[in-house]
Parts: sequence; structure tokens; C-alpha cells
Amino acid sequence: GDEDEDDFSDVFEFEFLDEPPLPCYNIQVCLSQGPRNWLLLSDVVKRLKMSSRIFRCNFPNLEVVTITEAEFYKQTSLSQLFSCATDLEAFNPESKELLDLVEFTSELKTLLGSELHWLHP
Amino acid sequence: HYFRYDEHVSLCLEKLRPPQPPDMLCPSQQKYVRCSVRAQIRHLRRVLCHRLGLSLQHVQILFDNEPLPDHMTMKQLWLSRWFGKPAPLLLHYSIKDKRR
Repeated sequence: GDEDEDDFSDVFEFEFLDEPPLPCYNIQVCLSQGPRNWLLLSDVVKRLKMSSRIFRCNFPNLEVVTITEAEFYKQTSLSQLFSCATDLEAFNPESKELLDLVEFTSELKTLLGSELHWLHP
Repeated sequence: HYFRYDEHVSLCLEKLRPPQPPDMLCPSQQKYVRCSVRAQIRHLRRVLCHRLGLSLQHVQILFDNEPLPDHMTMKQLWLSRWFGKPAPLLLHYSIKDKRR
């Protein structure tokens, strides 16, 4: 649960993967909490070869939030790590379409086939 | 220190090819790594050594054939060597003489 995860908050988590990592977006979805890491639900279900509906039924504990594409673009394009145009070209900065984001927890990383290593700084 | 909410970087980690002998120690083909922008090269070295079953002095991390300083953070690395380029950032590692 959340408490277990908090124990890992002050350690570095290294994720080892076979495939190129899905893009991870550092986004503040509401004013009451700071930025957190999210994956696009559409990226996740594509990699898992699963429908969004099945994903949400099978993993109800993974938080999914909705954000407008314009807000998503605004926040992501401010990151110095997304300075490459090709990393953002799929998104429309003016779109009012809604995007589903799924919180990038250790559980989701494992689900996507990553091996995790924790390290005390 | 809530590293879990930090921005993360994606790295592609490749073993520096010859003159080294084929690597029998590498437990898998996994070569992509993701971690906090606040992680440093020395942390990545430690994790890599652990995976490869080697001691710290045997593994070096390089960018463009240049060994990277231990205290460089992933953010510094990204901004100084990879700004404007697409993820993942390409790094190499080399394994020195394994005599113990």
C-alpha cells in the first residue's frame, strides 16, 4: 500500500528494462499536491497489449487521472528533459481533448517488466 | 528527500565493446535504465556493479569515450551532453581487469 511505498521515498530507485522505457511525465495534476510521475494510460495498455477497460478493472489500485492535452503539453514542454521536439510532436498544445494518466508507481514498473534496484544515497 | 517524485531520466547503457573479452557475467540483456535526475554517476556505478557482481573499482561509466565524474548528477549529464536530443541518453560502461 501507500505506507510501504513511503519507506522507499528516500532511496533512489533504479529501473532496469529490456525495452526502451515508456516516456514518463512529471506533472502536477492538482493544486493540493506537488508534481508526480505519470505514464500515459494509452502507452501502458499498448505495451501490455490490454484494453484500458481491462487494465482499470484488473489494477484498480493504480491511480488514473484525467488532464487536458493542452495542460499536459504546457507542463511537459517546460521540462528541460523534453527539449527535443520529437518527444512532444504527438501532442497538440491547444487541444481540449482529455488524456488519461496512470501514476508511475513501483507496482506499475514491475507490471511493465522492469527490475527494480533500491539504493540509499 | 522524496526522490520518487523527481523527474526521471531514461538511459541506454551499452557495454563498451572490444578489446574486452565477451561478458559472461552480465545476468541479462537489459540495457535500459531509468532513475531520478538527482541520482549521481556513483549511484549508477554502484547499482551496475551489484548487478554484474563486480567491485566498484572495476566499472567505469563513459559518455563519448570520456569517463564521467562520480558526483555528476543525471540532470547535469543530460543538460550538458544531451540537451535537445530525444530520450534515452546513450551511455557506455567498461569493465577493467577483473583480477581480485
